[in-house]
Amino acid sequence: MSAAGLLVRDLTREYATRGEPLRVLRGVSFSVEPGRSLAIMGPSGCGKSTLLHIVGTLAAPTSGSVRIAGGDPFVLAESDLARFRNATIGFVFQEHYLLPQCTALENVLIPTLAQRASSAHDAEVRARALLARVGLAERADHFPAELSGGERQRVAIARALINAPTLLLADEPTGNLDEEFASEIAALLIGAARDAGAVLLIVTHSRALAALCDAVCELRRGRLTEPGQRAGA
Amino acid sequence: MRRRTLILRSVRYYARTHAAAAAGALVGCAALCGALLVGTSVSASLRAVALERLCGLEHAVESSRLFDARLARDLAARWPNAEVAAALLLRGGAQSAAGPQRSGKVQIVAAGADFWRLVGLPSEVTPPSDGAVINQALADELHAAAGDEILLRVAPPAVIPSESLMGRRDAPIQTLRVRVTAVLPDRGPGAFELSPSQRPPRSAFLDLAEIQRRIRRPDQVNTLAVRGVASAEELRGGLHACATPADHGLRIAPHALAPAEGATFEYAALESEQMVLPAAVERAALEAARQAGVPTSRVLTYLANTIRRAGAAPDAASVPYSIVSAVETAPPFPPIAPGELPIGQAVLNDWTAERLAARPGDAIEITYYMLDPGGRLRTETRALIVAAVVPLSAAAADRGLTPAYPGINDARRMSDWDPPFPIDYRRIGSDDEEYWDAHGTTPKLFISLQTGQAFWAAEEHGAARFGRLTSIRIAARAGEALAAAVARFEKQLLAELPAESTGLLVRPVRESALAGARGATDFAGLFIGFSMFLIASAALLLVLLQRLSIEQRSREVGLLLAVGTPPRVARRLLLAEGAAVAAVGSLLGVPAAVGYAWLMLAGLRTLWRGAVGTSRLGLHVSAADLAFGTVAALAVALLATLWSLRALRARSTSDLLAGRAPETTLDRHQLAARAYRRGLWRIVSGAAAIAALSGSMLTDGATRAGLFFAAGGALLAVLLLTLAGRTQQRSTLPSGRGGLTRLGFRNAARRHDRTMLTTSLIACATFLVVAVGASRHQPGADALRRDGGTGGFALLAETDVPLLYDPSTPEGRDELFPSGPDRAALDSTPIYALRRRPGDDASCLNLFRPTAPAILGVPPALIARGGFSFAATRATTPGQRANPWTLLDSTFADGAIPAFGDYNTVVWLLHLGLGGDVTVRDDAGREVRLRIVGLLSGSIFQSELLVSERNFLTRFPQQPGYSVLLIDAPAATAGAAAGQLENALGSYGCDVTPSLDRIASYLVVENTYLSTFQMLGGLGLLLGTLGTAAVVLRNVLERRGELALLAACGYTRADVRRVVLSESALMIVGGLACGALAAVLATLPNAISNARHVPWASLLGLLALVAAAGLGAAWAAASAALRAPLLSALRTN
Repeated sequence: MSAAGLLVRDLTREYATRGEPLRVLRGVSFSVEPGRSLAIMGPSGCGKSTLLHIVGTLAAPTSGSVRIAGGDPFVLAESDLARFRNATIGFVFQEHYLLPQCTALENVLIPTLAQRASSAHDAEVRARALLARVGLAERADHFPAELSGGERQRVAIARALINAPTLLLADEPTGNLDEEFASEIAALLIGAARDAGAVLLIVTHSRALAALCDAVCELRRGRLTEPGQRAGA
Repeated sequence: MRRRTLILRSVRYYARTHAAAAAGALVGCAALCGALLVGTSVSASLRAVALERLCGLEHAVESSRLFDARLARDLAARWPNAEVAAALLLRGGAQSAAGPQRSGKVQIVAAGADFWRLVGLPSEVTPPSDGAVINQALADELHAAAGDEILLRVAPPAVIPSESLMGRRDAPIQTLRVRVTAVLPDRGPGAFELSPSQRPPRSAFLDLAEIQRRIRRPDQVNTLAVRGVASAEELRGGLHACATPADHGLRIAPHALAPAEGATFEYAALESEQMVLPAAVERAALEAARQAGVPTSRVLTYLANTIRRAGAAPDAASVPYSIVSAVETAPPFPPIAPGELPIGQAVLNDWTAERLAARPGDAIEITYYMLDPGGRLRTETRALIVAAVVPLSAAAADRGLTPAYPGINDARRMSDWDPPFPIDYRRIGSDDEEYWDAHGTTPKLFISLQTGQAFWAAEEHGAARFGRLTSIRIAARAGEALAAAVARFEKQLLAELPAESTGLLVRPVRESALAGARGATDFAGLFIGFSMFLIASAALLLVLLQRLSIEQRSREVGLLLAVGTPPRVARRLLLAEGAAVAAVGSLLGVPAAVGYAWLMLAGLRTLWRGAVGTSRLGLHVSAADLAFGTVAALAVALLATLWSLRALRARSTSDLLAGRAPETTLDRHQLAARAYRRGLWRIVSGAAAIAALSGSMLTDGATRAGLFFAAGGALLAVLLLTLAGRTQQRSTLPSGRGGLTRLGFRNAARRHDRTMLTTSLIACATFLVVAVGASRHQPGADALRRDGGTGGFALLAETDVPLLYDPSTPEGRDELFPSGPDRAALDSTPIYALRRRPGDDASCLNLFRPTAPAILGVPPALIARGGFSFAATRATTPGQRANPWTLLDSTFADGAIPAFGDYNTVVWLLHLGLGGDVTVRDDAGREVRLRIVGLLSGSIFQSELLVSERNFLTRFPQQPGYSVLLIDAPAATAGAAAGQLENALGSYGCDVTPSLDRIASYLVVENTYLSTFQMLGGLGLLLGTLGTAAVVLRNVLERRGELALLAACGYTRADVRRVVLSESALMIVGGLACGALAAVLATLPNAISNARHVPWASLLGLLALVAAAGLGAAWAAASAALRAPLLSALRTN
């Protein structure tokens, strides 16, 4: 596997309970090459979101390792980890989490706020280009309340791409959308990741969305099945 | 996009949410700035009042004796711009001529046109010679108007001290019947008074010449009003330069002797108009003589009632009413007899020796009067051995040894003598009249100065109170003319004699008034203290609202963190947003502060007037106060915001993104750890509460107050921790409506921090309101105990004119109380008389900082009796502990005088403590340090400091008589005794007050402040209820889905509201109960030990009102939140 991809090895995550600790992830291992996408499926409560949060460095594993672009993010201090996440990872959630007080363009620019050195002008040019790419060039100055559900999610995708991440994580990105919008968003997300040469990891219940990814695997009782290659991938 | 854009966007988008937080900042800023403005306004108002009362005067020269008004002209001539006017300022009483209305402590200002011009009294209202102008305050007291007649009672200063043997005690009071020609308003000249006070003086203005005529002291005044002299020091210098011996009450009289046939010896005698040379004059004169190289001889001349042979039969020959001189024998003064006069020996002139048939070596006796400080005449007899008999010539024929005394020197015959003590005119025979006719006041017997001073001026018996010499004789050096020696001596004497040493005191009245106007009470600090809880409540409300806002926006924060915004940056963004909100709130708080201060001042002028006693407080807006207060309020708001942000630290990005409440993310171990820590704190707080409560039972004063708050805080912590634990305990939900209530209670545990923050806010406010309410004082029966605040004295009397006889002695009563039906009752009532040196009222009734507090001299009998309660003393011996009053007789190596003061006076007004020194000036203008050795507790002596009578007489010998009486009348007959005493001492302007009323008058101030504190605490409570409403609103909005589910299950809207309201009720009632219980338990020791009347009914009423208001606010909030259709909430859920 290329050093620029995503490598997960023997990942475990436990939660303390009254009795035995609850083991959500039990030795999960997988890898994804840059420009490739992996869909992770599984029933509710199987640990999909936990896995995504650990890969996204929002939570730490109990044991095991995660290497993103060849590095182990969990050795970093909190502020360095935030900077790493800002530069390397893009998130798309089921909820769009757009700031209602900001326009579509400003929402796309939110991740650039963390970058002191970034030129505001350059960032805005990139953001407008991304909005154009997701088909919202005309809606750049609209507030979230003035956008449809699909449009909001497209803004969220643009936001995830603004810092050109090497890892794009999507948690049920089409969960709140109808079928037509869902496939449109899925195509947009996968195409954008592929074009950017980023690893795309999607957690979803949707078989239709999973089918669009390069590989699919299933998380059951904390263990991951071997990724099944999509025909022609 | 820049961070600033995001901040501004967020501020605008969440404007409605922020509006509540901004309101919290507004309240905090308004309370803080407002409190500062109140302080500045009170100071500025006091300054304005003080300056108005001075009518533009800057300095004053005051004296306890009268001096020549010429001094005013001499002083004015020294400086081109100086204006100096003379006046006679007296204290006395007033009475309506037509009715029973009386008024004490009246200021009588007798002055001429120059004075009226100086103080700005229009010429058309200046008092005519046959009338008086009075001010409105006196007119109100006497119900008098222009045209009415009033009686004024004054006691002009005596030339010879009334309490000396030669002083007159029989007619000190002059009653002036005058017609009121005008009534001045209590503003401008009508408010004139040299001592600062916020209360208008009661003044009568009279024509100086007329008053001088009536008191037979032409051209004599006791006050100079000065404007246009740069400093007090310069004025002192001018006074020093202008004063003549006469201005010091001194005269230098030339005398001549014929020591031998054809020879003449001239000398001059320095004498005082007081008959006795004050100690300061004696010191200065001897030093001046030394500097000038002038020989001196000291003399003490006295009057012997009888000179007789020792052991002679009663009917044996004796010489009545003879002058006896104790003379210092020193060259060049011709000796009375050859050689030194040994102690205990006497020289008789041959006329006296012949009368007594006495020869050298015979024993003789002299009998004379001594006057006790209480006015009691005592006869003493001393034995002497005749050392020599000298002819009535030469030095033995010196009339200059006897100072001039009006009523004796000018008497043609001895039987015309008019001395102030009784003499038996039957004893004066023709021989005596012949002697008087031929030799006048020539002494008949001579003793050494040492012997004379041992007889008549012994320091240890207080006989030297006014001095130890009657004259100092000065002579010229050989070959020098007496006039030259006298001129040299006089010049040197004036140089050695500061004006203040003979009682001409320069007072920088403007400077003192401005210093006093800074206030005895720091009103800014006081109102910050009063408003502190309001400020704290506003800060807590701000924290609560900011936390609610942050919780509401937790997903937003989660998103910022998820996209890689460092937590520090995310917090800064929120902090900046909070700061912007706080800044807006604080800025809006500035005008609100002005309104708040205006309201507080309006309260002080009206509702709380009892605390300040004036309606002259106006609003003075200070930009510095507003700037400082705003910055401080902003800092508090920022700290509150920072504290709110602390909640974010412990939460993971996942939890924030998921919008999970902090409490719901705690695992079992964390919950157990929390419960353990809570239990531990409960034990620690409980132990601290028990220790503090026990301590407060054993202590008093400030320590008890401190322990009270410590106990209260600890008890509050115990109760709140218990409540916190109880709310987290799960119990089964009963079926029916009770189940819904229990469900509400259980909901309170879901956002536990939020619930407990609100509950704590209400509990703290309740604690304060209840504790303050329970601390209100009413003087109870315990105050009347011997060890209470009254010392067991039912009545306290004050006289406008000092009593020159001690009413505690039978002799004094004979002089003071007329015989009549009341006399027996008065004789059976124990009375203790205290001397009073006038000064600033040092009690809380005076808003001005006392610079020279009034001082009481405590008689030995009261020291021996003891009594009163003490907050603290410096007692070290068992005797002092048993009776702390004996501390007043102790001495300090550094010369400080032991003094008592009331705890409230010393601590809050003088800002001192036990062992602190109050510096005052004595009658000779020297600094005297009064060292506080005892703090009385809640006593009748809150306006003065107390020293022993012995020390009082040493330092303030010129203060005549007794002005304060403590009357130990049984409670049942106290009313009758008060009437009898007022009648008996009516001419002295005696005003008798029940001691409990005196204490109550002080407590009015304290209770008024407590009311203020309680009201502002109530406002804090109101903020607590607003916080509850905010929490209820937020809870309902967060749980709309759950509540919709209840509706879907068939519960009515009222049922749903019941769930919401039970949660609110838990917070409100829990907070009220915890606060009230903690306050009651903490105040219990004080209430038990002081048998205080706690107004439980009004307190319970107040708490019920707060509970109703809180539940009403919660009901309104719940109704507002539930008004929207619940079904849509169910869909979104």
